[in-house]
Amino acid sequence: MKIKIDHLIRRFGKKNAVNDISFEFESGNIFGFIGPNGAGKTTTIKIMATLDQPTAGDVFFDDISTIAYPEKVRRIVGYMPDSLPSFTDIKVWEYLDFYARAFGLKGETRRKTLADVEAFTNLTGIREKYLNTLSKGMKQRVSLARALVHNPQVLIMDEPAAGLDPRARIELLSLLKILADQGKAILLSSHILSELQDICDGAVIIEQGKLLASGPLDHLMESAVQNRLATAPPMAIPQPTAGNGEAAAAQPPIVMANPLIAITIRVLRDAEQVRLKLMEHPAVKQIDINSPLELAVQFDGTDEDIPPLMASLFAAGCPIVGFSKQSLGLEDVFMRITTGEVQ
Amino acid sequence: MKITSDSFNPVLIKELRQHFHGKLFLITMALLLLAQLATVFILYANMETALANNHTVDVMGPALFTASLVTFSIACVLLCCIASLSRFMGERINPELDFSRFCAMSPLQILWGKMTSCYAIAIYLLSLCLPFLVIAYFLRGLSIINIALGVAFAIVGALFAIQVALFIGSVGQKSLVGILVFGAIWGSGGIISVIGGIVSRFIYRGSVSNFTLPICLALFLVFVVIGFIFVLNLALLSSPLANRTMPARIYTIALALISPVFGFCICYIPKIPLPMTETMVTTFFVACVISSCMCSFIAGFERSVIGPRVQHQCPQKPLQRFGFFLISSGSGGGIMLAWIFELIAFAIALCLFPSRGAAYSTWPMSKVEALAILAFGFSSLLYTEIGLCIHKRFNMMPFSAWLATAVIICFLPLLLFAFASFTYEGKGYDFSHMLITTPFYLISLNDHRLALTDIVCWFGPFFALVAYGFAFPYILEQFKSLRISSDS
Repeated sequence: MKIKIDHLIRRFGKKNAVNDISFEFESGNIFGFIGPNGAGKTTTIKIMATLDQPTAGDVFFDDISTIAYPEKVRRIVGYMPDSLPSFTDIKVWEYLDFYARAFGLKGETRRKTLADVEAFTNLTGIREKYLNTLSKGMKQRVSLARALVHNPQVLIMDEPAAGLDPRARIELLSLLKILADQGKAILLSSHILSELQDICDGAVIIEQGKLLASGPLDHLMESAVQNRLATAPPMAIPQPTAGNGEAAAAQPPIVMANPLIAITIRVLRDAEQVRLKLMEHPAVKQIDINSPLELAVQFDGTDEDIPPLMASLFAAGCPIVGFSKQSLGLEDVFMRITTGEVQ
Repeated sequence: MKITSDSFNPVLIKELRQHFHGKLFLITMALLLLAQLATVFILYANMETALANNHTVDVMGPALFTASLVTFSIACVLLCCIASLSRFMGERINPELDFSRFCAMSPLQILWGKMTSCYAIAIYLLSLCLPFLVIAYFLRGLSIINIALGVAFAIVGALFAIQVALFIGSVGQKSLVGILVFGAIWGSGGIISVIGGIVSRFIYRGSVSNFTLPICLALFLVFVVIGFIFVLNLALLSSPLANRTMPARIYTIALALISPVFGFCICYIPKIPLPMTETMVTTFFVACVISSCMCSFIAGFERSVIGPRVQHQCPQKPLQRFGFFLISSGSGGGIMLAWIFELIAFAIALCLFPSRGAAYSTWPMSKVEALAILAFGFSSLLYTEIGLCIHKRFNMMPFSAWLATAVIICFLPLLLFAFASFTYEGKGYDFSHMLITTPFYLISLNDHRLALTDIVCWFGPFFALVAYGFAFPYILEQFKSLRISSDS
């Protein structure tokens, strides 16, 4: 299934909460939906889940329009809100049973589906508990179970991991991976970008209701690097002084084009010795000692320049036990693309 | 055939589960039984005193009967109305809980589930009262008819209250105003039903047949209102992009069409000889005015832009398109349909109803009375048309525009009239002209000015027609927007 968000606009009075957003994703993919608070993520998600109507534009699930056929879309989409209401008078199994009935599941099919969903989301042990007695993590599991009860082809999740402890978060994300492997399309909004990076195939970044970037993660990172090369101002790196303070002050700072390659080097001992050796190399622009046995190096060169650098260190007898090139993360992409302004 | 829970509405099952898990349910049950048991004990304890004071034992049955009905009504309000209303309101406020936007259930299924759960609880409550009603019967002082009539009044009151509660719940306002409004409406409805039961028991005794006609008329009107609230509720639960007011429009048309059948039926009430043709025409006339008022009222709250979903449902042949326009969402269609009802009723009033004279005795109402009833329809149209103009001209919300119109040209003159009449009471001033933009103008006329009513009756249509002239461009715009252009 192909999900297409087509020039979506949502106005509240004079404010454009969502301003002409378009992107696409497909079955089997987990797509991250990223943006600062107030960027329009929840509004977009609610429109996709037929909880709100757009001012203009539409969302298509294959060819099914959310405006023309919201009833059909509800059968395709499973929506998981950021929080579950605290009903005091309904048990977990009754809550799920209602939604199963509401989606037309009957008899043995309903019972089997509910048992499967409860087992998948690990709710079997708490099915007799009232909703208001559940922890945040358990509520999120119930919420996920509710979204899955009619076996939707698309899952739309608004901050599903918010407020969860690390264990619950990891468990939830692993469930999502399984669901994506089953062929479901998942759109997931979250502020925990490092975790999104681990499980997402692609991402959409919005700010102030406008789309900033969308696509597969590696493309986003690549374009973010190119974007930085094209638009970032030159970065000044202070040179180490060589004894003569006046000469050093007169010397202009080195102006270089971004980006630098970040390399982490782990050593067995003598990090300071390795640092001094590295400083001799003209392409090394900055060295930070992260810990007694780890150095972070900013390297002005290409990937092909790294092996000679490492070979020179080995030749000089530096006790290196490992090294790795640091790639650009989703957090870096997000920080470089967004401005942090709010409407 | 095996009946499983799959046969029932999902909302009904969920609501009943929530009712039975709630503490309010247990508390109300306990209080209901305790109140009735206490009444029995008090009556038993006072039996000897009552007999010693020469009171007949006939008082005991009616007292227990009244206590049972009152406790039933209170329990109904608590469980069927307030509990259901607050739950429904909570669901409607939060879109993530709103079944109409979250599930694949239709608004009709959702509303029907809510209603049937309330009715089921009401029947359960009544079944708890039944033993006490039987005791009341055996204590004497009541006939089976009296008991049946009292219970029927209480049930009708409960049905009405449930419908109003669900309506307020579906509006989904956060403030308590809805609950207060509901309380006031239920309070009056409950009081009327209880008083009706008591009156029927003590005064009418066995001669209920003398009051069959008013009871039938009252019941018919109550069920008309219940039906109207039901279709309004459906409209509220439907998607704003759907043709949400179509059920309401069809309801008004159906009401007008079946009203002569009601007229036909009441002609067969024993001991009341009614002329059949005249009665059927009169009921049709009244139903047309009621339908017109309903259409105007709904149109006052409707948007003035036809959505793409409605547009795509519309047949494109001109005549069919006009027919669809009348029953589709949008204030223009509502105003047009209201005008059609009103003009039919106006024609009947002018052509068929007699002036006060020779033929008057055979008709249930005269021409003047008919025109006075028509004034309500024309006034409703006037407010809606002006509201539409204000909405379009000043970009106000339709409801706010309608409300502002109604306040300025209906309620404000009424208040001024009441104030002036009170201040200058007995000084011979006549302030009735202040009410000329309200339907109450004719009611305020004195007998000696009744000759003027034929002239006065034209004010309503005249004002409504002038306002229609102003609103016509907006109505035409809506009608035109139903046509799908070739490039769309």
